[in-house]
Amino acid sequence: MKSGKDILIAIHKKWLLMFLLEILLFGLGPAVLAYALTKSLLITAITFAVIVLLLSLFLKPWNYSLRHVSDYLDSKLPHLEYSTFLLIQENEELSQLAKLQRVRVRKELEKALRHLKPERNMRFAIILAFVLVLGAWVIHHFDLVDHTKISDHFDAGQEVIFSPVDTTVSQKAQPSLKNQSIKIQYPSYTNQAVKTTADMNIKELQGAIITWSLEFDQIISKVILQSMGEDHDMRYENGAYSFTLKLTEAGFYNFNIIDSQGRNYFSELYSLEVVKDQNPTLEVSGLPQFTSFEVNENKELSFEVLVTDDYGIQTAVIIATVSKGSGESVKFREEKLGFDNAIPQRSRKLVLKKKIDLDKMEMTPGDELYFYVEVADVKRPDPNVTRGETYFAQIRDTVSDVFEVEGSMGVDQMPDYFRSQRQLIIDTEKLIKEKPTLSKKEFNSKSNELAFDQKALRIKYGEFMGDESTLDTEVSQEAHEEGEENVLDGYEHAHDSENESNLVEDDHEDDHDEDHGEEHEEGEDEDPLHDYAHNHDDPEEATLYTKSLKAQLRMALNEMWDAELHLRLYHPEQSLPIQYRILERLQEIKNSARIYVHRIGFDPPPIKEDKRLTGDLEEVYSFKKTADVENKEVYPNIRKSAERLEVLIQNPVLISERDKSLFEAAGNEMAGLAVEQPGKFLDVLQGLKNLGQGYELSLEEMLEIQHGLLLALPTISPTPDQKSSRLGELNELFINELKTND
Amino acid sequence: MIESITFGRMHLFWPIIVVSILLWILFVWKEWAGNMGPRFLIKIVAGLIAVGALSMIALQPKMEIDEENTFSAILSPGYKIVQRDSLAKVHKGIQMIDYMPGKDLSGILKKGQEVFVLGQGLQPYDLWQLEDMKVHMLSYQIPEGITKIKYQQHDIVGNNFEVQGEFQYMEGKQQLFLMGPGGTPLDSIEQNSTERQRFTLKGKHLVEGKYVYALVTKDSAGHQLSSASLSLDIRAKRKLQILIVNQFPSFETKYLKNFLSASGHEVLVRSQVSEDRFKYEYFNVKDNGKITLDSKTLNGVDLLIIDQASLQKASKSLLQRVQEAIVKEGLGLFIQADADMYQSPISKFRFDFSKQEAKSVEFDKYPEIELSKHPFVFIRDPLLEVIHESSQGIITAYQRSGRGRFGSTVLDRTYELILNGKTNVYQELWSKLVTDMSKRAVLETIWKQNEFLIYQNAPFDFTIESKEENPIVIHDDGYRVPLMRDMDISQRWSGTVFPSEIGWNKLMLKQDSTEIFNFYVIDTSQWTSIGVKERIHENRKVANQNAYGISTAKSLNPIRPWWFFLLFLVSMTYLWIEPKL
Repeated sequence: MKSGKDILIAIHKKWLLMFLLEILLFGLGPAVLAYALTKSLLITAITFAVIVLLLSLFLKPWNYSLRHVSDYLDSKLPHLEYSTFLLIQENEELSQLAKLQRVRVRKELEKALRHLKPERNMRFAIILAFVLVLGAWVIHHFDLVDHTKISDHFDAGQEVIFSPVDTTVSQKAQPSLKNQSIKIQYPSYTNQAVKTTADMNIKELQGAIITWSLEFDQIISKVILQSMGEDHDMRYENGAYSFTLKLTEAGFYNFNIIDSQGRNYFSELYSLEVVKDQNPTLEVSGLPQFTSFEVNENKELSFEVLVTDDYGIQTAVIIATVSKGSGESVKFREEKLGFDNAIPQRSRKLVLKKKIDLDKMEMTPGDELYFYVEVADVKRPDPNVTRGETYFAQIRDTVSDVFEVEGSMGVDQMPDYFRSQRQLIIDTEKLIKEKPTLSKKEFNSKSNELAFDQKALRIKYGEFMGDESTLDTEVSQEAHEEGEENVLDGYEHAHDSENESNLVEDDHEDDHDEDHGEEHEEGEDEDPLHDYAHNHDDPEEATLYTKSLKAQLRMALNEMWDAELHLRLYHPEQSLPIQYRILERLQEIKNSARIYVHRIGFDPPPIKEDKRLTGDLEEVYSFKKTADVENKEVYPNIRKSAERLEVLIQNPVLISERDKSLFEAAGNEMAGLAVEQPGKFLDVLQGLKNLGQGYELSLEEMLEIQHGLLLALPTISPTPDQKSSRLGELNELFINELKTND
Repeated sequence: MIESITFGRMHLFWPIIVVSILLWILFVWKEWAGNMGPRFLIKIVAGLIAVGALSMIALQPKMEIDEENTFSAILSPGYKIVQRDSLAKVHKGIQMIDYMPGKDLSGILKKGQEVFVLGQGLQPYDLWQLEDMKVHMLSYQIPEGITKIKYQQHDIVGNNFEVQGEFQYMEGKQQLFLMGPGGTPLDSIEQNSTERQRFTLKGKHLVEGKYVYALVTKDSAGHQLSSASLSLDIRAKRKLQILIVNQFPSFETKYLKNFLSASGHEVLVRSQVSEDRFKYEYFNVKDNGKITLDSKTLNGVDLLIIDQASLQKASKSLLQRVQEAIVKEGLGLFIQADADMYQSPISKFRFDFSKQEAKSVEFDKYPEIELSKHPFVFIRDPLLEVIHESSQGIITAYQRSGRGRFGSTVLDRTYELILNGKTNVYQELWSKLVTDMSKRAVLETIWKQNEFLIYQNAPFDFTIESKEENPIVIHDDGYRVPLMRDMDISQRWSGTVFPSEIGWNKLMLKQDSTEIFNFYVIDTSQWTSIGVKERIHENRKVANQNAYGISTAKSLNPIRPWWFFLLFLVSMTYLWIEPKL
């Protein structure tokens, strides 16, 4: 059972808590409201702290003691018979009677506890806080407050001053501004709060929505915002003139107001500067531009990318391209790779990591990987995209020099061999030419070398035809043979009979068949249908060459045998015509391949043979071309203004309406320049505006404007002109005299 | 002696002589006493003398006598007192005349007298008053500052212009600035000579209109010391109509037509593509159907650019038409040369070439830029007018033919300049060529100002040449300027105005209000050094002319009648006394 004191302490604790809560509630409402009005956390915090502090000082919650609670209970509950304090006191201090009373009071207190209302009523605080928070929400939601009203004071330097066109207007009668403000709403993707300023020179993000609001101290009939040659009437609403514009391009603007008496006033020029959303930047670290791996290495690339952007990064991907094969048979595969770590929303600075495993990219030796990083920012609707540098990675190919027949382009590497046939012919001719100067041994040796080359060539071509490559073994054997004294024996013997028959240029096929018949005997034995069936297993048979090409190449190969033979026999003269024939055949094969390539790219229109070379021009017409290419004079109004100003400088007169519109037009031409070089041309632009509005300027000012105008003009490139002359009597006489003596 | 006697009453000469003779005859008859004695003869002579003396008194004879030399000194502004005093010492009684511009000296100075001019001298328009006098111009230091100036006052937009001049040493290290309109500095030089220094300042005209440039002198600290106006009347370029005829399309023509049309000229191109098939191109001009080479077309264009191949193929009548257009209408014909041109030229339009090895040329103006050319150059000829010339010879030239001209160039493949990025050189070359070759715009009226600097309230002489029978020139103040016709050339007139307004003035032809002549009037405080130098020069010229050869002055003095009266008295006394003796 709780003692009376415990009960009392519990009540005290509870009430003290409520008391503190009440103070906080009082502070909360105004603080939220202050935030809604000012959007400033600082002001909110200060408001809160000040109210809580003041209330605390006033209410002094630290004085809220147990004694106070007992007193309060005594005063509120008569049943307690003003004896609550007994509960607090120590047992020993109390008399017998008091003890009895304490027990009684405790009981009474326990009874009263259920109906007991706290001393301080929180209802007011809650309602107030609720009302204020609701109010704040309404203000925020409906955007009721123009924030300038809070920052009502604008610097004297920022104040828009209007000067009258008519200088007779007294200073007092001039309208002046009570309030000026510009509200800037950033594009939603920037996630930036609405900004309010009194500075009329605007430098904001492209796409921001600018709302001007001007409040005057007197009635104004019209307010016009003039910008880049366009006039925008400002809307009158709630005592202020406002106008909204989406910031797309840089320029200048000024206000023109017409007061109730129809007098015109102009403000100074203010700049509208556009800040473009910057492209994201990226920096790849830990990766050389070119990486190359051995086949058995761990083929992993790992790198970090530092990405920054002014308003946040949306996406970052790696665009990777894998190339397989080489030459015409190259194939590309493109892949988009993500980074290992996720991209948080709208982060402005990111370090992204990536590990690329080339094996996982299904790359084989000889393949190459190109990749670059592409980052897009949050800009809407067209995000800014930045592409990084391209990096390369390659798996080294160990066997890259082997001849491959890839796809349909069997002739891919043929030019090398053609060249070597041509080279053979050249060498043979050279040998024939040098014959008288060479010793017999030398001559024979050279002829034999040529024969060897011819053989190597034949074997290479043999590969095309599916002949077994015996190059390696034969070459080594040959090399061995060459080292011996009698080079001829072995070879002569092997082909002796063939050579005999091939002196006549027929029957190459037979010879060859004979020759190869032996080599392929086994295979053919196993498959007696070979000659009759269409064997797709044999790549040469199936797709490589069309029949005629194949036959031609076979014939060329056969002739190579002959050519080789004659060389071996030291009769290069006899070999030469055969070599020429070989070259011709190879040329034909090459050309047929060329035509094939041609067909892919270009389909020439059919030539009407009957029209060809007839010289018929019936359907050929003369034709006409008309063009207006005169390069339009740059800045025509600036030119004219410079000329007109010269007149005004020489001979000051009043500026006419025509002058005004001329200067205004020149001002519009100038505005573009002023945006680029405000330091140089802004004053000139202001001057032109003043002239355009009919202000009287001093001579110095006009000279300055003219100077600026001339600075703006580009130099003129030389062009022809028509000279002039007068045909006076004397000239006519002279010309006639010349004519008669001609 | 007798020749030098004249009579004051010349008009009464004969009546008096007749009356005198009659009187004498009457006297002789009265004295006749029947014999011719010596007394009679003496009497007659005495009578003759008396009558003669009487008639002389009536006739008032005058005799020319050598006059004694008198001296005058004209004290013009800036004279030195020392000079004046020395003169006064040497020539006692010398007449000192204070000169003011426009002062009438005729009453003061006498013909044939010796005049000393001190100071800067008389204004040129007052110098006539010193005619027939012996004039001595005493030395006068040429003032410091700009003493000579020369530039093109009437110019064209886009032209580079030069202000050339000379200045006399000025105290301290000074700089000279050429200021464009709006006070834009265009060029400057620094004084580096202690005597006379020539200078050339350059600029480029960017805009048309009437402008006043300024020549400003500043000291080394940059303070402006003086400023003088340079008036410039800048006009826009005129548009030409150019016809290009080619036997086949070529790169040269392609780039040329692009350049010409981009410059705003009207360009017509006719290039043959096949037999009787042409490609017609119209740039900046309305498409008028086929371009035929008839007289109408040829007379209408200002320049015909034709390749040698077309010219070779041209019919006789076409050549005739072209020649007529050149001679009568002033057409310019430019022939795009090829090898044929040097071997078998068209006789009507032929030039003499000399063969030259070099196939490229470099102009001094464009160093290190090699231009391709045919291996020929023009042979110099008095009839040949040169457009481009290099150290290798004449590169581009034309010949006059009637009102027009025909020409060619040995340059080849000039479009390479554009391909090499030397567009400016290309443009300059062709601009000069086309400008020089094209038909001249015929001016109805030509104005000429005789003085370079026109001062307020000072006479300004101008000349006008006009087709008008009786041109009437109006000043923009509204008054009519009296004109005087030239003695020899009936279309040439001259006049003088005294402009009172500083700044731009204009003269107009009443018959044709488009004929306007703008001139700029300055106040006398400007260009003083030039004015003074010119004045000294003019005065010296007069002094040199009139220094010798003028005979000593003679004057006609009336012979005093007293002497005749005495003669009369003596002869009368004799005649009175003689009978009494």
